[in-house]
Amino acid sequence: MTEPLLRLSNVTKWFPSRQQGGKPVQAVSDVSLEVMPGEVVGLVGESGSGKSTIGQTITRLHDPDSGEISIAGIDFGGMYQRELRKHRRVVQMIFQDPSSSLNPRMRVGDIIEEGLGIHGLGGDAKARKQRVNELLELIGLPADFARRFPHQLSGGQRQRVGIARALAVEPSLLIADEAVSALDVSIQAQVISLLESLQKKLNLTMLFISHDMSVVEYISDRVAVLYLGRLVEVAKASEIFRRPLHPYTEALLSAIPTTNVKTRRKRILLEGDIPNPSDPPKGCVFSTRCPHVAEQCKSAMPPLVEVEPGRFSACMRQELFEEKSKKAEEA
Amino acid sequence: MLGRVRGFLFQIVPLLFFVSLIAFILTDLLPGDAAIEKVGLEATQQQLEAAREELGLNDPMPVRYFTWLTNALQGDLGKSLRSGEPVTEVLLRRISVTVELAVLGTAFAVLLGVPAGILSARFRAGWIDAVINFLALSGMAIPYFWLGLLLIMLFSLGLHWVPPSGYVSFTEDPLQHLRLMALPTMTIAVAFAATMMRQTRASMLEVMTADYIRTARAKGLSERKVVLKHGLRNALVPVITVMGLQLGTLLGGAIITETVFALPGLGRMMVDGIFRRDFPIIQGALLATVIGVVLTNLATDALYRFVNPRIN
Repeated sequence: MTEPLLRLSNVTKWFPSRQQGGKPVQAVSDVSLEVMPGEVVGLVGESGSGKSTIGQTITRLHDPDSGEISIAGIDFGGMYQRELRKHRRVVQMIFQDPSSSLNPRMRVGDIIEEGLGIHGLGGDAKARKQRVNELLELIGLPADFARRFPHQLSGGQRQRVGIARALAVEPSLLIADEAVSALDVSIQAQVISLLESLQKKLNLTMLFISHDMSVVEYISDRVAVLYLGRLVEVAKASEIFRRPLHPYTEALLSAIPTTNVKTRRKRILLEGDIPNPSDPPKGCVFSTRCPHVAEQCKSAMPPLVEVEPGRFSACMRQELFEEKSKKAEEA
Repeated sequence: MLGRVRGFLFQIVPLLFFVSLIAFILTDLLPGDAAIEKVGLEATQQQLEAAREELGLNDPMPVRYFTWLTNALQGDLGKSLRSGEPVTEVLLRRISVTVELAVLGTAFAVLLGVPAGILSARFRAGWIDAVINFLALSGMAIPYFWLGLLLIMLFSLGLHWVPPSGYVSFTEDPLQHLRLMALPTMTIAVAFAATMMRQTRASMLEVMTADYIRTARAKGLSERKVVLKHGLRNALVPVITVMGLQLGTLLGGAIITETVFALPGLGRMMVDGIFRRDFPIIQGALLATVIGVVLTNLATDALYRFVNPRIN
């Protein structure tokens, strides 16, 4: 069996409270996840669940407080700054807002080329220019765009540039952090299919962070569901959408809008907001909003366990879902 | 390009007319009689009348303005009442001193203020930031004349490094010229540098939180490159705007500085003109100063377009 390309073991990231003596914000707690080479894993969850923090911790834009991050066999999480810089190219990120993520004072060509220069890739200046043209072609922009400034591009074109600059240094792992959320729906589809075709063409390994379930369903091989900084369910995309095991996943999926009357699901409305991450609930993090909450849920956070081959869920009341799946099979 | 030149002319021509009108009226409003200044207090009534007629003082104000303007457009700003020397010649001689002072002062202020601002922002809330901020606030608060005197006390009377005041032209003795310009440059640059520092600091702090800074870090750039290449280049836009605005203030400071250090510049030309009631001299110096401010602002505008590609 091949080694996973990305391995997170018990990664935790806490942010200190802004108030003096306040409790730290537990943005990411005890997250373990493996991503195989060439695999696309979707990371979903609502606002404030810690999706972006995980992405930025993996890229070491934030330093993890504990746990291990290894990418392509190197201990990325424990590296010191000097060493880290040399290895930055291993993981690259596509950021959410393409307008603000590109330096307004630099031309597109320079933005894409900069990473090559830093990491000594692409040879001499002429060869690097050639490489920039190749990258522009790869993302479907004409070569003369290299001379333009970001403000002369549309939102979709800017995000294409964001993708090109991430791919320029040939990263082992690509993290797309809400890469299409800031775009128009019509442009979203274009950029998603571009990402999909690039993924196939270059056999990219990707962590696709999004709050948009339909986009995740389309592009991911596996899906990891995050709630209040903790993974509550990890499963194959096809399975999780057909038969969610965790009550939170179930609620999340029921919120996907559909136009088909037959497949319309019964909507499960969760009450209230996601709890304050500096003061999470005592037992299971989802216990305050779970429709199936029982007494045992308030004692401890259930661990993420393999309930079926390749399916992980963190719920005290697994029997509920086993019953349900039996019913589904019988029917 | 042609459109911009035309827009520029539409902007500047009416402005200059307005400025010349103000310069003329203000001087006209000053107490004193130009004719008396010309012929002296002991002159007879007849001599006085003759001088009035010669200077055109009996004409109504609009006529006098028109005559003055027509001459001014031909490069003739009248003659000094005292020395009889053409004002244009005096101006040409004096303006180089003030321009040099302004250029040296600006260079000094930028070279001191911008790096200090970057350091201060980079080590925000640390001791470096505290020291720089303290110096900047002191620099802004200190009046030019007092700072000038303090510098003379320290560097001339105390350390004997440079002469306290005076002027020698560059062509005559380059080294002595620079030694004499050193203290005036510092005097005029300190407050300017402080403003540059505050602006650079504020602007850097804002820019460094931008998303593209995060992108630059993710690329694997060294922190130095992130700050200087991605941060500074974007942070400089407001700094340049403030620099342009400050140049006007700088010319005001030049008047005081030139007086303290006995430099024969435009500022002292104006001050001397006022004390001697030499009206053509005052008008000429005032006009030159205001045109200088207008032109620097237009130059700042052009520079601003250059550093900010989004404006075009």
